[in-house]
Amino acid sequence: MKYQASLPEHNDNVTPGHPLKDFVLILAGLSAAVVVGYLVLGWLIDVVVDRMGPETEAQLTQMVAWTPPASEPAMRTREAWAQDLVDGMRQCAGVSGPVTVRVNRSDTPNAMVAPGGVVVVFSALFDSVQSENGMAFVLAHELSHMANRDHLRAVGRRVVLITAATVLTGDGSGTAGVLAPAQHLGESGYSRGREAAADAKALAILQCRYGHAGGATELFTTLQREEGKTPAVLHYLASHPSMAARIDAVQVAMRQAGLQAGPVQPLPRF
Amino acid sequence: MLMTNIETIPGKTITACHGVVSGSSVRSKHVGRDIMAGLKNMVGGELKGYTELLEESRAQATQRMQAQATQIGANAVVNVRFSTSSVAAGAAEIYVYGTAVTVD
Amino acid sequence: MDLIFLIVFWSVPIGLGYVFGRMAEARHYRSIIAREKTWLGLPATSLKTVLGSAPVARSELVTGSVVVAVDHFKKAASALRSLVGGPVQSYETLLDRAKREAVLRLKESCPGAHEIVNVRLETMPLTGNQQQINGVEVLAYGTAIYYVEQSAAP
Repeated sequence: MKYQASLPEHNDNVTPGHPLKDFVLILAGLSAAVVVGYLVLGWLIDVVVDRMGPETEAQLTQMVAWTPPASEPAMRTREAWAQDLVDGMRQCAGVSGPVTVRVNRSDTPNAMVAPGGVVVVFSALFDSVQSENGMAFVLAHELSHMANRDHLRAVGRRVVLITAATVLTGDGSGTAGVLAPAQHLGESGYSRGREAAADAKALAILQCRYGHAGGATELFTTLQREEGKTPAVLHYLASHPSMAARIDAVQVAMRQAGLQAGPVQPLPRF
Repeated sequence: MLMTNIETIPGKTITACHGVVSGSSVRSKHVGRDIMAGLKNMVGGELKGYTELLEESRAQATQRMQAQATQIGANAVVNVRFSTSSVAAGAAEIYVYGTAVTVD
Repeated sequence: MDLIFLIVFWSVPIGLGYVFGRMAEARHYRSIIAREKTWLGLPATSLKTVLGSAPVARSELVTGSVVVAVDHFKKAASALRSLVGGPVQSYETLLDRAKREAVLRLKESCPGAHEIVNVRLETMPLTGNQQQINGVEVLAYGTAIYYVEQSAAP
């Protein structure tokens, strides 16, 4: 047999085309699909939670309810006063079940809702507002989260979206990680929307309880002074809107609903 | 010892056949423990350390096959084949086998 | 803040892998093409019979092997491909290079041989933790044939 030496001119064993173009196209397509799927699933969860009856809500809340520990003796007077304030606003907020208020000692002003009808207030909040109405607005904001069932929405989203991501990308592959930024942005946007809705409802509660909307922006103004210059991009990624945005939103809502500021009740000395 | 991976040894005549002989060596194929390999995973390229490790494992498996052939009275191995297979998590076996023969 | 960290954590290895991986691959291909030209004179076939009709002096089993690592860009590209299906181009070049390199090393291991017969190729993946493919090993083996040296005509 005669040996005839020759080499092929081009390599047929490799698919033609630039690898980067391939990579970018698939990444863009998949991210778009994730965003769309995310929005659709999120909307479905909102629809389900909105249509949910009070009995179902009570049952689900029971499953995740958190019993608060006994209150600190030093905080008891503040707690009793805040509890009175909350009880006075419950009807305006449309919250039927009992609400327990706890005051925890802390240097950071904050307030949060825990499942099972518990509102936790951090003691520094008492130093960040100037009147009873200012505190009432913060408590009304938390009552609005309860009335809107925001904790159920958050749990529902987490369960459904994480399940969808795992099922689609397969167990243990790194692909879910590559698409994580898209998920994170979506979550922040949704959260900011719910916070803004709670602010708007809190305004209505204040109007219902006091007859005017004075004192609504006290906490935001105090925190804005301490916020400093955070760049706009970080606000975009945060779960709450910036203080400036919240103040603006409250003022716009007051104008639109024709609400007036009025004389505020003083804060008692603790 | 003479070895080929065709059925004959060109230039020699096979006088007797002694059956199949084989040699194996098991190695761990976890690249994660090697720091150099970790760096190479950034940029790609050849893992020289691993190439040498695998050549040594193959040499050992081949030696074991030749030792077995000598024990059964052969002086050459024809039709040698290599095979690698995953035997457990993180371990692979290199298996060399062939037909032991006597050539003149 | 942690979003920025997340983005950096993912894009730096992929970017490094793309830039340096492409450079290393191009250099390797240039070397492969040059050496294939050099070794064109030594035939390597997968036939079981010897090509030439001259008497054979001796023969021996020869091997050539190489282990090539996968960079993070290739892994990310194949992870994305695994969701939509289709040819995984980044791994095609990896295996093509590894196989051609193994055959070249096979030839280089017996420079005095006249031909190599019954060339076989074995491919084996190297896995790290989480069953991720970190590289590939290719072994090429065959029988090198040395003809009887033709003595000069008297």
